[in-house]
Amino acid sequence: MKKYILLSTLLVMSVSFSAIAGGGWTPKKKKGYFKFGQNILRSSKFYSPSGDIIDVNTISLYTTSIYGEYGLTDRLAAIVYAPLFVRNTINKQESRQTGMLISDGDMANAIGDLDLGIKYALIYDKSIALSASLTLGIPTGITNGGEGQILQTGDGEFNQLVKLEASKSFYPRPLYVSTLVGFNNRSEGFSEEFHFGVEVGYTFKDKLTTTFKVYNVSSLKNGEAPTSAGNAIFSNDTAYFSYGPEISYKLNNKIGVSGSAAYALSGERILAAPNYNLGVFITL
Amino acid sequence: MKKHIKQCLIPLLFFGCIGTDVIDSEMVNESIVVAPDSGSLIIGDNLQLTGVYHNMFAIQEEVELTWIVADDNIVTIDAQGLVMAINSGQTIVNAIFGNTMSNDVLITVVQNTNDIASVAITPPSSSNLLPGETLQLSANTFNVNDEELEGKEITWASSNAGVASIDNTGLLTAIIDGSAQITATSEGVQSQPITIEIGNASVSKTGTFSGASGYTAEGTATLKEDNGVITLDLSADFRTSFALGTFIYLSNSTSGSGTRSGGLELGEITSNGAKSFDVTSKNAATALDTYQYVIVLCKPASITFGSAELK
Repeated sequence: MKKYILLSTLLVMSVSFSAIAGGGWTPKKKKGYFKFGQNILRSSKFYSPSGDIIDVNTISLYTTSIYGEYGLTDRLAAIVYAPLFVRNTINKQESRQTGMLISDGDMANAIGDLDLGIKYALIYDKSIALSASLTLGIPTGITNGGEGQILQTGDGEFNQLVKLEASKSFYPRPLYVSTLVGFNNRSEGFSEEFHFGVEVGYTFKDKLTTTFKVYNVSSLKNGEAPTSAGNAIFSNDTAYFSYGPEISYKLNNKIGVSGSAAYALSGERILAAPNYNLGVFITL
Repeated sequence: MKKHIKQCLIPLLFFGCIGTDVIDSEMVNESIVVAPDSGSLIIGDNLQLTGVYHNMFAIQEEVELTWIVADDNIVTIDAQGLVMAINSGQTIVNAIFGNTMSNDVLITVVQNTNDIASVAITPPSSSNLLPGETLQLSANTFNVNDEELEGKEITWASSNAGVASIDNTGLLTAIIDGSAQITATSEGVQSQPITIEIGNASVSKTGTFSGASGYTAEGTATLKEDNGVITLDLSADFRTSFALGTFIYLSNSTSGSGTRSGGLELGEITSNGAKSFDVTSKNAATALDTYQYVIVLCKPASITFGSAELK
């Protein structure tokens, strides 16, 4: 279940980072950005509900995903984040002194929760671009995976994330800044969330772009998700403040590679370990 | 192996296998147990004692034990634990390793088979009494061949007469809360002691739950003994955070991994409210003071939701 929280958090982080990468700008008609990515997160530490870091069995989450933004018009883009394959494992435990098995490990392999969205450019021909987006979190993941039926690749709830994103280019200097605010309306009694993010990017010689991102998710803690047995104990009221760098390199005008890391500097109900991402992206 | 390969090979193209967390076992008191725990010999006979040592991780180890005798005018013992009877009387033998001492081994030496070689107290119906209650005890005498010798006079003694007194007929009277060791003696030969506990504190322990790290755990836990059966009861107002795989444990650690490695799992819970667990059926060796805490544990992740210290 903690895996679940982990998963839930990871999905949110992935989507958010990708989305803010586009920022306030939307792709022109029939243009787009697509990324095939691999996330890796392993942790034996966990931010508890009180924000303390506590020890847990080591949990690993490996997510293979596709992210895409495609311009339907010059102002309207379709967005998809598809975690095509999520592998979620929990380590077995052995005694250092006796070598005896204390607990078995477990694993689950499945698709994750799908995100579908649209983004509309409110301002797109000025030095500051502003867009609004709606992302629907489709509960396509599983909530009872593994032999113990406790591993999850989705939270089982349908959510709607509304965001406003603004970006400013400092052209001719190859520098940009993007920010976003968002509100995530969750179902099944889960608490609503407030999202906030900032990203600063600088491009060297039109090839190498370095960015630094911070992202914050705050729970309104207004949910009534069941306190009886279920996944809500880990996936509801999740909050974090994360930061991390990303480097992307264009191999040519269409294809590039990227790598990023993000770590939750503080959090609640989230794994306390870096989330690494490697990806290949294509621009149309 | 095949299954393992199947589980890992294809996913390894992109993903990792299930790993292993190596954790320290819970530390316990070192112990030495010597067997037999008593013996009767005729002068000139010998008895082989055997000591088993368990280290701080409860792992049995072969170590060189040191043997000591309280009164070496009665018996001697060599480095291998072989007892030699020299003169009639009673004495105690122990084995030592480091700072750890074994149980007392009561050795009785007699001159012939007509002598009383042991006195045995019949196990009482209950070893827990409330103040004011009485308990009739009895004892039998035996020669060195374990043949009963009838008609011998027996005297009784309490190690703590202020807690429990006993008269010459073996009638014990509970006075105040506490414990006392009772022995029976005949013709100078003393029995192994039995322990009598007086008061409610000796038959139950209670703790109040408190949540850990922001999780919820409320209510009380009561660990009680009734006719040798240990039971853990959670109160009607018991409430806790829940995850799939929430279990109740007895443990000497409040950490999740410590509870997993050294605690006693009593059962899974899926709802709040009153519950009862038969501890003895899980581990018959469990006593009221074996564990210090009741733990609410998210077992799959080894997260402690809350604990209650038993007092």
